[in-house]
Amino acid sequence: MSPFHSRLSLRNRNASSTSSSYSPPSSSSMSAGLDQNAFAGAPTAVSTSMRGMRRLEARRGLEESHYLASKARSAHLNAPVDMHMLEYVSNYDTNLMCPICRCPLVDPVILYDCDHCFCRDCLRQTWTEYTPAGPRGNCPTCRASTKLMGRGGVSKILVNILDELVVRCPKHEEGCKAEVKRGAIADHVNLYCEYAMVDCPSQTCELPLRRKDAKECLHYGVSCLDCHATMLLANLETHWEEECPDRKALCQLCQSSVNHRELQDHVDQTCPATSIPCTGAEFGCTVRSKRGEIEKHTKTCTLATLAPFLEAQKKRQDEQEQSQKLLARKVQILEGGFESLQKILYAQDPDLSAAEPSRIPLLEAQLHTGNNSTATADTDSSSDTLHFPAPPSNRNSSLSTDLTFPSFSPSDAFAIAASPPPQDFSFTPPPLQSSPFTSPLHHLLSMHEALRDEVARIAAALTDLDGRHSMLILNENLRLKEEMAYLGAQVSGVMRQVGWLTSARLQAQAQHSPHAAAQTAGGGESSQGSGGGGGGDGGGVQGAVNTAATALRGAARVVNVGREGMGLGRRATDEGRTKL
Amino acid sequence: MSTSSPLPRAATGSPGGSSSAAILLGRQFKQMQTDKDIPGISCGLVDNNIFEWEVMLMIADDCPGYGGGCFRARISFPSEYPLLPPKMKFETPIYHPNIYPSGEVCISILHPPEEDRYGYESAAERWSPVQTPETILLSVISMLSSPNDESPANVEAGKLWREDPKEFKKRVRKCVRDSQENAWD
Repeated sequence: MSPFHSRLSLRNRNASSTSSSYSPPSSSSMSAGLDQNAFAGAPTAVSTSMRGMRRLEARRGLEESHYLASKARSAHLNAPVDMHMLEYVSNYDTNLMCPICRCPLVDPVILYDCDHCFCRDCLRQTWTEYTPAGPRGNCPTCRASTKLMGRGGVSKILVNILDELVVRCPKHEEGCKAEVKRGAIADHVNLYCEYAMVDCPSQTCELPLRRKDAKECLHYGVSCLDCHATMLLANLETHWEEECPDRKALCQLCQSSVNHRELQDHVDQTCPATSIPCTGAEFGCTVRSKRGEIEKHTKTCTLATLAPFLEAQKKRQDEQEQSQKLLARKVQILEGGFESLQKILYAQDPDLSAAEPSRIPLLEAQLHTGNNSTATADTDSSSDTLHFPAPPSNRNSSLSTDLTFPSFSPSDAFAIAASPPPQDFSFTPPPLQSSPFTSPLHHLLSMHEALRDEVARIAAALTDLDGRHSMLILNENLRLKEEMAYLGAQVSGVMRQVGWLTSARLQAQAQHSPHAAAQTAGGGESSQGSGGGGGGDGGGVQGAVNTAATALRGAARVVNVGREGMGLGRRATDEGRTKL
Repeated sequence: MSTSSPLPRAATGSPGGSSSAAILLGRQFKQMQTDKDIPGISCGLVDNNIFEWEVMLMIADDCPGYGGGCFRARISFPSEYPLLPPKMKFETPIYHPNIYPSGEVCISILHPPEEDRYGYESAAERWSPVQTPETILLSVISMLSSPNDESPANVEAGKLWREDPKEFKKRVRKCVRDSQENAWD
């Protein structure tokens, strides 16, 4: 307000200065001329003018008293216009608003020092509410202790601007269409508004009437032609227009007689002659026809038949959009959360902010494990002793699925895994632009997942391997035990033979010893027959040798059988192993 | 989501009678609905009653502690508005030194000027009829980020805020997370 104010005052000063510099001579000369004229004409017309003036004054006085009286009467009959409740037609500047009631200032007052402006009523209510001491208190806006400025404090310009605002007549609900300046609204209601109440023109009647009806007294009883209710003539119009339950009206379109009150509803909703659009109009059908004939059209119109379906669709779509909005909001929040998480992550480890996958040690480790496992898988499949349940090609494919890191596609991984020399396995991660993950955090998370999978797989493989090993050891043990038992049997067989041989030899020696001296000639023979033997009976030696030979043969047979058994056993164990 | 749904036409005019308070509130409500300068606030009426507003506060992320929270609150205006202040109550559970565990907001500008039962605040900080729902909500949002521990409404929260800021922050984050989860139920 204040710059405006100051500018105005400046202009005023300019105006006054110009007027002070130029106009005084002219105005003084003008007035002087007028005065001279007046003096010149005075003697001739003084009596007539005096009489006229007196009459005029008398009439004015009468008019004034009449005006005041009618105003007072009107104020008595009509509720005073509440300026705060008015409906404004013209747009107004927000600076003209009272900060308390938020409508254009009504009877503005200005506070000392802070120059804040309020409606008088608003400020009075605020202050008497809290400090009954009087028009003194704190400014509601700046809270400074202050008091009211006198009437002179408010600029006339402000008051004029406010009074220029155009408002709607408060009786507009009753039918007054007047839009007048706010400054004139009280006069409009009190003196001109056709719908304001005035005294009945009849001297004896004391009931109020609308101004437009106030040509004669309407306060006598009549009865409605249609419903035969008795009422005052003054109320008949309203009754006739709005209340009468029996008044019939002719519908202009279908020529049927309907209740007057329901005429509008009839035309809008039921009249068969009203032209209405096709039910599919919303979806593009342009046909309009009478209500009675729309049925016919509806039967043939595709859009009309589809209308319920389309409507349902539309409703659903709206619902979907609504929920989508909610979801979008949710996603936004989640993303915010992710971002903060990311911030926390990267604040701790700034190296990771370079979101290149190969730079991240975790990923490298993952790559190595992948590499190693392919190598072991290959060696496994070639070696005889270890067998993985899955064939190598399958293993590679499963690996390739494990290797689906963010930065390269599964097909790439598969190609690499299937390439023949696993030693040359070199990793060239594709450029980051092709990465399906937008943020390094996602990348990290997915990598974490992949690692976890890998660990789980390795653990499973380990337990598998463990089982297989123990089975292998068990098998081998059995086979060795068998072999040992067989060897033990063989050894005991040989031992028995040796025992038998020695005992036979000893027997032979014992038989020979009585005739040792007599049979010196046979000594050479006996020594020839039984190696280290001390000589003996030739026939006995022969028999011994024979039995030894059969025994040896038997032993050999047993050994052969053992060999075969062992072979079988080994084959069996081999089979068992291959089965494993 | 009744808060941000477009209002029936009756509500934008002068619902709930035609007293000057109702007219003023209707005008301010309409302004809140159309104003685009206040982000994160959406309001609606409870039972189409102009004296009962339901407000959804979506706190901006730069607000320390409460950033990202979605709090539902209810503002009840007296029939003497704007001469007497409205009451504001959070319906979403919120952990804050200046908000009672029941959700009622304890903020000096919502205290009527004549009562001074606590002696904590001078009249200068209390209700003034020039306050609007908008200024109230802005004050509440700024209160969230900077609690006033001189007269804590939630004594436990005030104590925690003073003595164990870390734990306080944890509790606040939890209530913010809960508010996000329950905001659209």
